[in-house]
Amino acid sequence: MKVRLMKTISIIMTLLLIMVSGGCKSSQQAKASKQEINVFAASSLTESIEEVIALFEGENPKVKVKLNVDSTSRLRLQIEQGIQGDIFLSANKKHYDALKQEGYILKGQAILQNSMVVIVPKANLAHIETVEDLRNKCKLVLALREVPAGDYARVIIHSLGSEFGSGFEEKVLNNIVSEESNVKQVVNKVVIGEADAAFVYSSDVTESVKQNVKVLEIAPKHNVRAEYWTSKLSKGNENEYVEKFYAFLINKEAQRIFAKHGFNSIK
Amino acid sequence: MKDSGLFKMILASICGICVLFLISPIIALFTFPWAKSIDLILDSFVLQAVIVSLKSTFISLLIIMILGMPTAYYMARYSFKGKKIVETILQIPLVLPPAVAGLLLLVTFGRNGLIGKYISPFGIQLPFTFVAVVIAQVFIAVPIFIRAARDGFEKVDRELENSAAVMGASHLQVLYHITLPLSKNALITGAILSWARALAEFGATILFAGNLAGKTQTLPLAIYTAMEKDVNLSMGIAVCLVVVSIAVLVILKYITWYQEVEK
Repeated sequence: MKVRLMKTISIIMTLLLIMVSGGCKSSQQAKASKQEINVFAASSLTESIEEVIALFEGENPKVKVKLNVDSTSRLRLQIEQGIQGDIFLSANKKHYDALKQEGYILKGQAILQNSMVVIVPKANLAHIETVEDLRNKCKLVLALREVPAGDYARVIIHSLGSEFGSGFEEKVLNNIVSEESNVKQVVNKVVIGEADAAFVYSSDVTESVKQNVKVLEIAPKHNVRAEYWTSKLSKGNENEYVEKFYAFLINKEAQRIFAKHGFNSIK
Repeated sequence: MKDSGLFKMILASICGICVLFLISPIIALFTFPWAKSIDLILDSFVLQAVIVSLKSTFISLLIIMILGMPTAYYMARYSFKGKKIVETILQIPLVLPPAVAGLLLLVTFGRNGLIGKYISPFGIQLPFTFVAVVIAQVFIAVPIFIRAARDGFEKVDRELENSAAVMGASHLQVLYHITLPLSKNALITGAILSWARALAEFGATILFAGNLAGKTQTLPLAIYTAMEKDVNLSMGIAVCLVVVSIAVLVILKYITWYQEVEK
């Protein structure tokens, strides 16, 4: 019995090994004939940039776009520490400006806009019906202050304080139970229903997220206009596709994809 | 003879490569200009993280020993049906990536989790609390202690225990006067190793307990957070943790050395 089991297992293992090694080989061969470009993108862009890249790769079969998604502040740190990238998409102007000043950026421009919303889980155990209810006891999750999404959230809470009166800001900030390192982590804490509320970008409320959350709008006068900046990095690859991808981000098709995911075009 | 010299040289050079590879990050850490990092460490959020780390690892270690010692003793002394299965279960966290452990703890003890949904109506909500930090640490580190303690108990000469029992000592007397003193070093080693693992815990903590300075933010989480602010600051914390880790190793070496001398 045991011997038989061992035999079956070893056959399965061998098959798996062959499959895996076969898979490696073919992808390696494909790589060899392809040009590579490295794109660093703020994590709020995850789904949309993946779609844009798929489209770009479809039109340019000789290119392999490698995507590195993280919070803008961490991406900036990676660039400063010498990790090679070609295109950098920042979720705010501050980090873009800093890198430009330090000489890491050749050129860049604002391409997209985003705003923030409050999301609560469908079950809404804390009964948060309006933004004002955030002052009641609840489990609020924000991104870290140093991450653009976390910075914007605090600006908005401060601004709301002027409308909802004294103590609002302090009460809301006291409700924070966790500060996540990027905005997708914040979204997911609400999606799994552990957090009662969170500040996220309107573009973070994707189709799959929508099934699990309720969206509360923030009045425009308190909301922020988050600007996304694209840039070509100075220490990147010297291949033609970098320029091509840079231009591609601004063209109509790419902008349409971004719009589909809740971003507004800058123009 | 010539052959064996060559063989030895090859082994030595491969060993050298390993040593260089492992030591180079630590050398790099100390050549980093972290003089200014030291000032930054005194920043309140790092001190808060130190306190959270010390408090949580101390409580975790207590729980680990209270749960781990009887478990290890039971596993070392008795055989029962399904022992192999129990053995495997007790080692699961050792092979589980900590991030997976965190996720699993979340779907177990979270508000909508398997166990969590029954206790949350009573006002017990674990995620984002200090208790969650401790749970994550215990979950990850308890197998390390159990393994070390079990090894220690198994090495104790059964003859000694038996003769004590024959002379009329009770179970507890045998345990207290014979078994525990003889396995002391193994228990200390297990305690230090599991404490160090709890101190290093990151993946399960950040997923299950969240990240809030002064409440659930332990030192490894503080490093991660500091990376958003200032690389000098994270380097400062890293230096502290490296010093602690090396200290742990030195103490362990000393214990094993002491053990050999005793014999």
